[in-house]
Amino acid sequence: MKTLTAAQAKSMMIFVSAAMVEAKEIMCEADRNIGDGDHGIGMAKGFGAALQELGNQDFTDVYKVFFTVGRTMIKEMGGASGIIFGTLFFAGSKNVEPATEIGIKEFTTIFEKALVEIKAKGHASVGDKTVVDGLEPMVDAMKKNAEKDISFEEILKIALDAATAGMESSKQFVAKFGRAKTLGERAIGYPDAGSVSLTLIIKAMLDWVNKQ
Amino acid sequence: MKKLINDPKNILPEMMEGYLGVYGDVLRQIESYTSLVRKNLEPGKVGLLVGGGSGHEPLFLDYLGPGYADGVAQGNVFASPSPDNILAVTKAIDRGRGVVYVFGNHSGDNLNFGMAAELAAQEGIKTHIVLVTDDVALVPPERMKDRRGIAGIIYVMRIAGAACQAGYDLDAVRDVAEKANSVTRTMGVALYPGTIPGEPKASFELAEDEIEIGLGLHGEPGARTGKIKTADEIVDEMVEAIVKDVPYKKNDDVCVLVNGLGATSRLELMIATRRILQDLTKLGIHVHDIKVGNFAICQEMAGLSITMMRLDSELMKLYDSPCYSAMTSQFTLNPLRPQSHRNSSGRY
Repeated sequence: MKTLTAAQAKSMMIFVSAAMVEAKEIMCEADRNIGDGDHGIGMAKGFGAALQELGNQDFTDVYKVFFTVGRTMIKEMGGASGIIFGTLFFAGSKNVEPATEIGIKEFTTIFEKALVEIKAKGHASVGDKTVVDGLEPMVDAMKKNAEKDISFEEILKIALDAATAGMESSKQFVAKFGRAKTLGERAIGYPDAGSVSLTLIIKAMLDWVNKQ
Repeated sequence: MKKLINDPKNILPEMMEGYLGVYGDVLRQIESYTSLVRKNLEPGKVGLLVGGGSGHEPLFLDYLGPGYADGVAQGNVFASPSPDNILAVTKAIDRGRGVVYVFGNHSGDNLNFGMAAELAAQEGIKTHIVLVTDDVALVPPERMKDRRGIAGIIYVMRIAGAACQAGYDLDAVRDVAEKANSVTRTMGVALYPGTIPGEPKASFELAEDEIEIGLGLHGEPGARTGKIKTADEIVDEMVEAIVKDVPYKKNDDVCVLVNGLGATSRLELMIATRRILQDLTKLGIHVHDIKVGNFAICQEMAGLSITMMRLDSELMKLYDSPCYSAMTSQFTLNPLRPQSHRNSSGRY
């Protein structure tokens, strides 16, 4: 698979949304270690609403699929994760020319724009124990490979490996934001819940591609 | 954890239904959100919007009323409301003079209220943000803007609401609310953690002889875990941490809020209150007003937080001005008790 059509994007995001609703307790548990344990509740709510929105529409524009997911999450979730994970899909899909299909390069650009906007909104950098710990190395790895003649399966594998390594590295950090901030050194040893969720999203995308 | 709920998915809508059954004569719900605004808003005033996650009741809903908040944007349990939710409340309470947002300093609230302010500006509504940063437990005073907001929001929104009623303009409401925040401090201690309704586990664990010092209001762990001590020893530590932070000095006028966290008995709160008053008397700090009860809670969390606000003449005038809300009995002057008696005892 080297291109993603609007219909495929819809099918993929429906699969991802359903998988994320399913992963609610995993995300809550990740948050319970060093936060307040509600991360999975919000994520399941947001992806559940996105699932419904996607099902109600037919898409001819790939970006409109990601836009719908992102905007619905921002509107329905609340919490820090509503803005942050909504922006993951929203930043790269707003104010762009419609496209009936996109390639690896455009797919990478969506995450690149998300990284820029999430960092700007949250004032976070790598090492602050946020989703940026997973997202920045993921985007770097994707950009390095985006010009190559590779498939969606390969780019998502690269993305997942980098996001997972970033999530693992977040264990050693003291949190600078969110409720985990209050823990100081007590947060060391646990990954950031947001970077755990990022790996779940990318993993679900890869699982969908593998099924095609 | 046992909870008196039905389907966890319906916690908020069902709570709202009950709430409107009681207060629906003076409050109305914003369509498609679990948020409320006052009916019959006075024309020509700046609007006060407060909000954040639910689960802290009586915060925020019970503080809707003249002299308090005009609208509450409410999110899921312990989660910030979305920008769209906040914007809908903003539009409902704006009377052409702008809207002040007062909320506790938490990542989610900052992100969502920040985006709501951008959306409001696009629709031609001016807003100002006032962050409440009263928690002394975790961050040193020189980084006050990084501190969390906890029960001190009760005072900051009371002052902001009084200023709105007094006809202050948008900038002036923000300025006096920021002044109130700058002289308000809170310290909390938890004996038992709280749980999110519908979730199987408590949000942190405490052994039978342990207390969590510097708790947050969302069940997040605090600064450190310590051993349980006597009420007097715990209160002494809390008062010391608060008093040296502003610092509060001899002859200062302060308001004191003794806040149960949901599961603390009034008996215990009064024992703690007795010690707080002893400590403040010893320090020569004058208690203008003291309130004891559940003001901002974390479900069945047990323990208490102590909040103090130092009053100058402007803050005292605003604090003593009339206000009405579901919490009125807690916050207006007791009509059965003559003013002179209240002053002579320093409290009532």
